[in-house]
Amino acid sequence: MSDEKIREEAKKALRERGLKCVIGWSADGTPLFAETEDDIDRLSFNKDCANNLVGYLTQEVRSQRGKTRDGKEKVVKPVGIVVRGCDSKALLLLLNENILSRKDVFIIGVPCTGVEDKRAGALYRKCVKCAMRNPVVYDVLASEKVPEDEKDYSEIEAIENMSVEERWEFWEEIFADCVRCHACKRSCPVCYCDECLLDPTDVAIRPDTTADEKAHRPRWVERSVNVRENLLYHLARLPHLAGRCVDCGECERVCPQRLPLRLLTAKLEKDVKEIFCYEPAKEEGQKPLIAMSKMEDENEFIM
Amino acid sequence: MSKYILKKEKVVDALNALGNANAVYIPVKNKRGLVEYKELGRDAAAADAKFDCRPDVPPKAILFPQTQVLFTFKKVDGKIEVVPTEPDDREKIIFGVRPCDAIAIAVMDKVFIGGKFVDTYYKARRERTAVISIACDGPADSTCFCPSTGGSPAATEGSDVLLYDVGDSYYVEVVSDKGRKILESLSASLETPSPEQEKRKDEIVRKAEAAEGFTRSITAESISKLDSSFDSKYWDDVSRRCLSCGACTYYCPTCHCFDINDEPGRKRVRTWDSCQFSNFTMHTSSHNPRTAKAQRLRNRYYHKFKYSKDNTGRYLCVGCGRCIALCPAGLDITKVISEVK
Repeated sequence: MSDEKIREEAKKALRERGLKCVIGWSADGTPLFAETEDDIDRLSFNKDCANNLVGYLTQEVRSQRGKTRDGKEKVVKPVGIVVRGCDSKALLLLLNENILSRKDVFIIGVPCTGVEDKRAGALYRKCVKCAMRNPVVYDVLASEKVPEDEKDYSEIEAIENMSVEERWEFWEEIFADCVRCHACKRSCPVCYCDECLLDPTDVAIRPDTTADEKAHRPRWVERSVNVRENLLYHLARLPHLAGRCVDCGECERVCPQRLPLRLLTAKLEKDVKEIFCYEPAKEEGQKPLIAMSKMEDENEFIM
Repeated sequence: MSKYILKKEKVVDALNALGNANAVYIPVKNKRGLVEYKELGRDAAAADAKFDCRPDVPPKAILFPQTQVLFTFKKVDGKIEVVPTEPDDREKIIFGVRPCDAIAIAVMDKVFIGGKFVDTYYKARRERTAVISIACDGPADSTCFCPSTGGSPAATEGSDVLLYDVGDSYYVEVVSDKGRKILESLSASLETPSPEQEKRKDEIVRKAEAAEGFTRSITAESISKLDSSFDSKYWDDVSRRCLSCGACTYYCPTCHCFDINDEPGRKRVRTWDSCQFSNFTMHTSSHNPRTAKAQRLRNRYYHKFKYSKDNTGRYLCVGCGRCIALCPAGLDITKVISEVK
């Protein structure tokens, strides 16, 4: 079983590397922040461990940063994390974007054969056919690697083949059901901005923000929850995720309305691959899509 | 108290009959498998009514819509003219409500129309709304814990009529005058209960009173720990995995906080707000008393189990368990309160 291996490696790293904590799952699948060896004995990985924990990693590392009173950078204790293949992709993206530093993280990889949606009593849709079952970045692996599937875009192709009207109707019906609880955005491992232009409930205002600054802050998305605003929220998120979203499916998993949000992110991934020959989090040190251009990139919009 | 029997085979006809004179809301399963309240005739057919589970979405939005235009305004000859929004003045019946959600309506009544200040928008809808509930035969979901909050699977509070599922029929109990009037319009479909059906109904009540079958609970003893744990480090630990999303509050049948904004199109709009959002307590001065998510999460539990109890004598939680079922981070309100230290 990989549980023993996870615990053994976590304890070793806690002692030898002075980890702040190890982020993993407990046996019931809920996130666990293990700070002691006793906590670590509760770490587990099984079919109920569905959460992508990488957002918590950013939280735990960032919360330690800052300057001491005499102006020195604070010491950041490394943070341990248990990741599946999809999680590790998101983690690699954060490393490549310099949001996290490799020395600040200790990664225990767990090859994964899919996790279950308790509500449906079956594997999550993203897990049925998965091209990222094995972690791509790790310090140790807790078990043997497992075979992976080819990426399946058949659902996306079906939507691409719809007429414009059909597609509009399809999405309008989905966006009409969104309640904008922001769970998708807040669980997204690569949505790490302090302030989001699409989220009117979380505007970064500090005590020294002036009245003028507040008055002139544009409001891109209104508080009203209706198809128009919801559509803007979801569609404007996408370009910000282009070449960054690894299709881990966390947004779809957390959605209380069960909206099929991966249809958006998988389409984004497919487009980025087809148009720019780019796959996010493919290798360590990879440049972000937004920071590169190639002669063969499509450029009709310039000409 | 008047008692009747409504045969299940007659429910569809009864719903359609009620639908002739009222906007009737029934729980139905949507395309994605979520059970939510939809309006009969407009978004749902009577035959699709799903009465055998706790709906995933509470009926809150029927009385307190997530987005409500309070009024619009325009400029006429250099002067601002306010145009009130036409109120939704149709008679409404919410059919198939679970007792926890009916209690939640009574709780919301206290907030919006039970005090010194009356919310006219809520009042307009509430006055024209009747609640027909179905008692639960034991917990309707593994996340339920209504007995811990003063509720019961067969509670009548907030309901105008309470139905009990007694096999091939519903045992119908009239709770209020409003309920009596509605049943008068259905008199042709109603029958008299048999002793056997009386017995079956009594058994549901007995099980409810004994709180049989519940696996989750919150004790008064754990709640009393809130008196001394405000500054506990516990809140930092427990909130670590909270995502500060609004799922728990938006799906809570009693959460009633809102925000008001002027929006393009010269509209003043009221929308649901959530105490888990960082701007919830943002002051005009830019000071924010609850910047940390630990403070926000703590506030939710304190409001539900302490402030509300201290101020109004009752909890602001009805034990429906939806926040447990829907929390993306697996936070369980019964565990959080039980483990307070």
